[in-house]
Amino acid sequence: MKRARWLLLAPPLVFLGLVQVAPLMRLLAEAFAGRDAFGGEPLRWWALWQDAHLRWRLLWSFLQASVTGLAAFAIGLPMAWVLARWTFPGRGALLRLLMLPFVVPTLVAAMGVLALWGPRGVLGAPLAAWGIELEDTPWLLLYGNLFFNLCVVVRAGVEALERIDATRLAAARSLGATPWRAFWRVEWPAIAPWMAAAVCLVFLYCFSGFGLALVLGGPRYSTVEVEIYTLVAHELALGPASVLALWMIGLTGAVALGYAAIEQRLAAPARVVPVPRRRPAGAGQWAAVAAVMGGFGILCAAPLLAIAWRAAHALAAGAAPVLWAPETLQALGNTLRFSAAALALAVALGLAHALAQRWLGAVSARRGGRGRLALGWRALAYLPLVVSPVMVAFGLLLLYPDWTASLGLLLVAYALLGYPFVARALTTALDQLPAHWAQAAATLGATPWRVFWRVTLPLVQPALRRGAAFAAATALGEFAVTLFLSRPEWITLTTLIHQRLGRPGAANLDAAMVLAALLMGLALLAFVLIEGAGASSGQKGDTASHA
Amino acid sequence: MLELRDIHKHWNGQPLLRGVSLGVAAGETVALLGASGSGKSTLLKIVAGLEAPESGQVWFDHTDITALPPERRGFALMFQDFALFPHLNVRDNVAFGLIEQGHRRAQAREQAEALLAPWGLAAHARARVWTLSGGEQQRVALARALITRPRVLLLDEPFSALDAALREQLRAEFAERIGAAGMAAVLVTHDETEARGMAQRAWTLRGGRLESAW
Repeated sequence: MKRARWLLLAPPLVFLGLVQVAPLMRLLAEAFAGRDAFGGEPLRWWALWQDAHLRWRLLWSFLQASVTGLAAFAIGLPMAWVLARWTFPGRGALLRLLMLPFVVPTLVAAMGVLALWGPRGVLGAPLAAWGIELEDTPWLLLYGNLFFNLCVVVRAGVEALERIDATRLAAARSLGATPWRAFWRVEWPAIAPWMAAAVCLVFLYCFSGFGLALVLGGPRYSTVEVEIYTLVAHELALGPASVLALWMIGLTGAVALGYAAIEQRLAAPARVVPVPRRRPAGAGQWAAVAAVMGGFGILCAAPLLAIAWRAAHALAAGAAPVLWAPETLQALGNTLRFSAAALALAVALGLAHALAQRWLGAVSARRGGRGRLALGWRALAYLPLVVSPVMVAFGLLLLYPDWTASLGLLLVAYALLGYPFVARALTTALDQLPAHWAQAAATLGATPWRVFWRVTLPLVQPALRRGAAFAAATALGEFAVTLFLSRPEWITLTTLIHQRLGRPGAANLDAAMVLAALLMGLALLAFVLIEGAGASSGQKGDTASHA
Repeated sequence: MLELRDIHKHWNGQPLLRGVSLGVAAGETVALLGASGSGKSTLLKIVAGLEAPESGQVWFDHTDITALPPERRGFALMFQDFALFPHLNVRDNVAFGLIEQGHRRAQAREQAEALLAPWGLAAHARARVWTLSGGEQQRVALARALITRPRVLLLDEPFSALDAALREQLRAEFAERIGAAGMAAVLVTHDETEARGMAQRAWTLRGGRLESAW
C-alpha cells in the first residue's frame, strides 16, 4: 500500500517536471546564455532597461496591474460588504453571476469590451459621435481588467466577512462602537489579509495578462506578455524575449511569494456564529444596494450583454452562415476534442496531486514535523499562477523544438493550465474533510481503496466537479498557448476569432462577434453541465487565470 | 480476548503512552479514564489499527494483530462525534459495514432496516443523517457499529456531544444492548459516572501509564 501511495506522487511530479519546470529552466538558460543581442551587444539581463520601448512595456504592465488592483479593491470592498451583510432581492443571483467572469474566455471578454466601448460599440459609437475616442487609450484595457478581476476581490471579501463571528461584532457594539467603528476595529483587521491576497492575485493576473492586452492594448498599451509573443512569433528574437521572460518570472515570483505568505496566514475555517444578514433600512442603504447592482451591471454584465446584442444584430444582418462554415465546424470540433482530452488528463493529474497532498500531510503530522514537504507539494499546484501560459508555451517551444508541431504537446500544455484548478479545489476539500469518516469506514471493514471509492470520492465530488468546470472553461477558451503551439489545421474557436478580428471589414467583425457569442455559450454550457447547481459555492483560490 | 502488551507511543516528541498493558475478556466492558490529552483516544486508535504503536503489541485470541490493518481486525469504533457519513442516508450508513463484508446491497439494506425498527428509527431509514437529533444520530452510530457483530466494540467518549438527560438515558440503553451482544468493549471517557454505569472495570491513564481505578 505504501508503494501505491508513493506512486500517486509520480504522475504529477513527472508531468510538472517535464512540462513546467524543465521548460522554465530552459527559458532561464536562454536568458543567461546571451545568444542574441540588443543592438549587437552581448545579451545582458539588465539590457532591456536600456531599451526605451521594452522599458515602457515593463513599466506599463506593472502600472496597469497596480491600478487595476487598487481600483478592484476600492470598488470591490464596499460591494462585498453589502453582499455579505444585507439581504435583498437578487442577492443570490448576483453572487452566482459573480462567477461569470471566471469562466468567460479572455478573448470573449476582450470582444465584449470592444462590442461595448469600441468605435462601433453599443456605447462607443455614441461617444465617438461626441468626439470621445477610447481606442488607443489605456481605458479599454483597464476596463477589461476590472471586468475580470472585480469578482476576485468581491468574492474574497464576501467569504472573509462571512467568517467573522457575530459575537465579536456584538461585543464591539455593546462596548460602545458605532457600526463604522465596529467595521474598522473588528471587521477590517479580520478581512485585511484576505483582501491583500485578493489584490495580489489581481495584480498577478493583470501583470501577466495576454489576451486582453493583445486585443485591447493596441500598439502603445499592450503588456510584456504580448511583447514576448511578438518577439518570438513575429521577429524570432528569442534572446530579448527570454530576457523579458526572466524579468517577468522574477517580478511575478516575488508577488506570488507575497501572496503565498499572506495566504498561509489566513486562518483555517473555524465554526463561527454567522452575522445575520438584515434588510437595508432607509433610502440611503437602498441607494447603496442600487449602486452595487449598477456597478456590477456596468463592470461585469455589460460586456457580455453587448456581445449578445452585437451578435444578434450580426445574425439579423446575414452573418448566420459563419456558424456552419467549414472552418467554424472544424474549429468547434477541435475545441471540443482538445478540451475533452485536456480535461481528462487534468482531472487524473489533479486527483493524484490532491490525494498525494493528503497523504504527505498525514505523514508529516504523524512525524510531528513542520510539514515542509507537504507545503512544498501544495505550492507546486500554484506554479501556474507564477508562470503564465505565454511562458509555458515559450518554454516548451525552446525545450522541445522538434515537437512544437505535435498535437500531444498542445494537449499537455492545455492540461497544465487546467490541472491546478482540479488539484487546488480537491486539496481544499480534502483538507476540510475530517479524518474520522475514513477511519470509521476502515474500522467497518473497508480497504483503503474502498474507503476512497465509497466515502472520500462521494464527499469531495462537489469540489472535483467545481475544479473540473474551471479546467474545462480554461481549455475551451485557451488562447495564448494555442497561438504559440497550434498548427493551421488545429484551429480552435479562439484562434478563429482572432483571425477574423485581424481581417479588415465589418463582415469579419460581425463574424467574430457571432463566434465569440458561440464560444461564450459553450464555456457557460460546459460550466453549468459539470458544476451543476453548486455554481455559487466557489471558494478562495478557485479562480481561472485570465491569460 | 483482547490484550495490549507494553504499548509505547510519542506525540510531538513527548512520551504519550509508556508501557501500557491491558486485558479485556469477552463480554466484558472496560473503561479508560483520564484527562484530556492523556492518550486515551490514541490508545483506542491503536487497538482499532488506525495508529501504530512505536513498540508493544496488540493481541486478540492468542494472535498478534499489531500489524493487521483496521479493516481486517473485525473491531468497530464509535467516534465522539459519531462520524456518520453525510452522503449516505440512515439505512445506508448502518448497512455500510455489511456491504464491506461482502453482503449484497439489497440484503444489507434489509438487515439494516430490520435493526433500525426496534431502535425506533424505522421512520428515519431514508432520512439524511444530519436531519436527526443528537440522540438519534448516536443510536444510528451504535447500530452501524453493532450490525457487523464486531469482535470488540471501541467507544470514544460516545456521549460527550449529548445533553445530560439524554446522556443518562442512552447510557443505560447502550449498556443493555452491548451486554446483549456479548462482545468485549472498551469505553474511553473522562466521566467516572458514565464509566460506572457501563463498565465492569476501569483504568485511569495518567502520565502515560495505566492505574487501576476500580
